[in-house]
Amino acid sequence: MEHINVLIVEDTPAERDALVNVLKEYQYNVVGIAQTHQEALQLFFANKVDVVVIDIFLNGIPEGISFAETINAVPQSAKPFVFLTNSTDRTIFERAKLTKPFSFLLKPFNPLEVIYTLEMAIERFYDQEDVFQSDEEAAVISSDYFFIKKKDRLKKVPVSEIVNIEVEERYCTIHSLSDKFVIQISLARILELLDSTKFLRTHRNHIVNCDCIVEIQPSDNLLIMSNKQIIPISERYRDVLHKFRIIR
Amino acid sequence: MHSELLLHQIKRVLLLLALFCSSQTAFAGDGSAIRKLDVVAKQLADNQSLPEFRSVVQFANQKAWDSVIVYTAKTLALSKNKQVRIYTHFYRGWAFRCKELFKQAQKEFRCVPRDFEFYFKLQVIEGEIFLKQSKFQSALQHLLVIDTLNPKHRLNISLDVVQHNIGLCYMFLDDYKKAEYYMLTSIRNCENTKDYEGLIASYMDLASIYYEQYLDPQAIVYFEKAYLLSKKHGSFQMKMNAAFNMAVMEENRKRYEPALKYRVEFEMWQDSVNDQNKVYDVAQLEKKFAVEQKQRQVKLLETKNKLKQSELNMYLFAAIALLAILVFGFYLYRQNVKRSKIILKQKQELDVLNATKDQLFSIVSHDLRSSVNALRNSNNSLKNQLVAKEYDQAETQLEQNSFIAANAYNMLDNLLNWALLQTKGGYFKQEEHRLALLVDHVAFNFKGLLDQKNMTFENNLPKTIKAFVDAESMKIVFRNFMDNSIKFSEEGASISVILSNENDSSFQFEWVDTGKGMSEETRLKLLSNSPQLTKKDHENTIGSGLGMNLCKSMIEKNGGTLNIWSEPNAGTKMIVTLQKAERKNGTH
Repeated sequence: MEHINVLIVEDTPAERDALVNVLKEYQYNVVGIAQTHQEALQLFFANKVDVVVIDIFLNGIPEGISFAETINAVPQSAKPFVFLTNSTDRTIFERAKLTKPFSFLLKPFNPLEVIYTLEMAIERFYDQEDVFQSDEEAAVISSDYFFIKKKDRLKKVPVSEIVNIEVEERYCTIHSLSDKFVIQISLARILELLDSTKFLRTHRNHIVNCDCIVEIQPSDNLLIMSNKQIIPISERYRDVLHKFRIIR
Repeated sequence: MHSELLLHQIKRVLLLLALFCSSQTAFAGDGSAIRKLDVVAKQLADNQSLPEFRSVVQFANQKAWDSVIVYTAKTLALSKNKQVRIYTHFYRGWAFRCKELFKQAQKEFRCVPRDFEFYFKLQVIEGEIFLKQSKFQSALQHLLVIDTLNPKHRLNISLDVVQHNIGLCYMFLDDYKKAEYYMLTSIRNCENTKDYEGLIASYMDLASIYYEQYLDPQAIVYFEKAYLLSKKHGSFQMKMNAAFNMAVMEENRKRYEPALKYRVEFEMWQDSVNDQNKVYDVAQLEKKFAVEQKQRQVKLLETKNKLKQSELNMYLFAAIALLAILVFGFYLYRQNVKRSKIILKQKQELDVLNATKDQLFSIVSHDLRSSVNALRNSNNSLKNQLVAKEYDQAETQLEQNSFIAANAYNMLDNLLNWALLQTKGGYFKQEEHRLALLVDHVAFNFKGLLDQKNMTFENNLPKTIKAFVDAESMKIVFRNFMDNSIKFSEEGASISVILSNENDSSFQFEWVDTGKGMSEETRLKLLSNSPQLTKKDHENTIGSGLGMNLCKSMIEKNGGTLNIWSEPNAGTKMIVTLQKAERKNGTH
């Protein structure tokens, strides 16, 4: 489980401090605080950023919008971002909207609103809306991370650390090397979101990360995973074995 | 000898003239007899209902003899009635006689039996015919029968004519004594009946009788008589004859001067007879000319009519055009009136709005002024407390300060949002939101205030309720609800939000507090469409009602409705209906 990395682009110290306090309280990792466009760009590319909070007005000019445009321009480096503003001026909103922000955070804000907005930005960026607000534990799945909300805290797990997934009706138990957590998601949906070259279905209830297979026991139709889990292979999904070149 | 011959010639001329005159008189004299005949014949025609026969009688009356001949032929062919046939033969004969076809006339008369009612009339006519044919003996036979007839049977046949004709017959038969007798009788009769034309003819004929017997002095007397009478009463023909006779007589007496005078007169009369013809021709010409003139006038009138018609058309078109212009003008006028009415209405509305705004300004500035003043005073005492190191008191003072600031902030925030709403300048985007979370976000900021007043807040909205709203505008609504609930509640009151109704497309929730409630009057004012500027029920400050107005507008803008239930000292329920998000924004 890792913390979410947040980049703050904000020049007003009071707002900045308030934001940092809220984020720390909710166990986010603030990777940097930029006060100018340049600084923001530098920090953005130097760090692994998961989500950006951008104040529209930097030093009195709407530089935040330009920054958002810049990070939006390269699809590979695009990240979810939230516009922070105290302006309800329509023209500014219209301009900001062109950059397709994933949410707006209006000043003055309270911690609940900050967290809600950040979560919403992540949901929308990965096109999996309305995941975190339900009472259940849930996850937004990107190609690199599982963003998992557990007890009001948003964390992330790198996909490479996911060993296997066990499905039980509407819930999936995600097993990582050291941890496990249950999220509400259907099997079909999770298969759709996962990289199908890495994650293989071996059983009606099991999905494995093929990078984490330690041992295959074809006679018993079993897989032994890196976290010591033993996963069965059902008749129906036996074909997965052909994906591996087995040396006898 | 020479003069004898000439004389003889003259005599013959005279006789012929006299004959001509007598036949005319015979004709005019028996009108009453003919009238009676016509009446009888008409009755007969009506009884027999023969239209042809009726036409015969009619045409005979009008002396249209050709038509009489045609219709009598028709009647004879059609009718078998003996009486009708007799009458028809009589009319036919009469018509022939008048057309001087004597042979045919006699043939027709022969078909009329002797017991015919008007047989004597027939005999008169036959006598005349014989006279005209110079068969004096036969004429005499017929005429003498009439003359010697009992006056009862004579039936209005004018005797003078008959006697005149008898006289003429005797004269031509050279029996002058009898001729003279009858002529004189005729003259007497004529004098009695004052038949001047008959008299003139008789005078002339009597004169001729004397003249034949070479009794010139007597002849002259009668010629002169005829001449003088003719000057007064005679027709042109008679005047001419009389003048000619006189001329001949004077010539015979060798008195050439008067003879010449009479001759001149004769020629004059002759001329006038010719003139009459000429006059007739001229009249014809004039008639023709008049007809042409009339024709021309008709044409002129026609063209005038046409002109008038076209003029009329022009007037009509002009009238229509004028009417159209009038109608159009009226329409424009009406439009103008309507427009000015709308403008007036808008102006009144604007006036009201402007007044509201002015009032709003005064209230807001008053509130703000008192808030800032309170802060200033509070800060002053805070400074004093800090100097005196009374920290406990300073803390409560600070809390008070933040409370004042929060209130002022809320008010200003409402004002800003209200202004943005009025100018439609705010950002507004309806999306899917879990309403419970929005309530939580708002409630978070009021924790301190709630604790201060020892109030509890419970958000019982299920998280699953997803509304299709603009988040910021709904937060404004909830902030105002919360603010009001806290403001108008005693210590220890509770606030809760509950879902009261739900269907597929919308849901209803209630913001319930156990506060002081409000009067019905206030409730209605709050629900009205413009900000109400009244003194609030509970607090000493004047409220703008701006917050509730803003709430109502925001909810309506989100496609929902707001209602208020309240009971003084029991609490207030803000009842809000909103639309559910039906995957409207295209998410999974």
